Amino acid sequence: MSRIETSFLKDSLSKIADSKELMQNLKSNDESSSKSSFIEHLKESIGDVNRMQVDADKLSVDVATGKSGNLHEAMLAMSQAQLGFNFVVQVRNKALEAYNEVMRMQV
Amino acid sequence: MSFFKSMQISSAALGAQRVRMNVLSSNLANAQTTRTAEGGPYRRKDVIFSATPIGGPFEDFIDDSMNSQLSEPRVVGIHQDTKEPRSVFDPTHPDADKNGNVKMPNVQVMTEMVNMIAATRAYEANATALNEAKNMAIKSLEIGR
Repeated sequence: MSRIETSFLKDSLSKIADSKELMQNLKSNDESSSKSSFIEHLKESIGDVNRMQVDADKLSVDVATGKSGNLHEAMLAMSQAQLGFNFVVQVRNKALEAYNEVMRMQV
Repeated sequence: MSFFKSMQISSAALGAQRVRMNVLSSNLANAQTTRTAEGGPYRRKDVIFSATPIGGPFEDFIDDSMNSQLSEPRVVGIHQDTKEPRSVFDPTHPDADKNGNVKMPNVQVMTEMVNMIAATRAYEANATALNEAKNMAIKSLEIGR
């Protein structure tokens, strides 16, 4: 499930990245050195969130198969993964909002 | 991350209370056990908690000074109660001495039950603390919505 959600996020991110490139091309003066840093950060944190989900998955499978009895640690990992995912979703929402705002702008 | 830090502390406390619960269950289950591997009746056991600083020393170094004040409980050992075993007169028991007295474990069922309630309540409190930390994080995600 986490794979699908993150790929969906990556799709919308690449859309934002495309629009960012468009904006860059529109602008004549390009200080291109640190232009993609936000996207890079976002991709990184999506990787982190994905890792959290994989960890939570592993812990819950361990509990379900009886390999470990650390019920609270599995629940904690799941809560953390959920929080991380919600955070990334909020960031995506904000970014998309900004993108839409730019697209609605009168030229 | 500070949200995860408080959750980590609560999680450590949950683990510690769970170990305590296991030891208490062992005491209760062996309240009538007269034979052990080391000889003699079962002896009551209890856990030793120790406050350990969270994170490694390097993490303390790069984090702000507030976090180095935080510590989480860890079970560092299980000690045996040195109280004398109870002597019960029962000449028909195979473990009775020549006077007919049997050495029974120094476990008091009532005390163990009270300790168990305390452990359960402590577990509940820490689970609530964990949930509240999570709710705070959820609330902060609602900022600006």
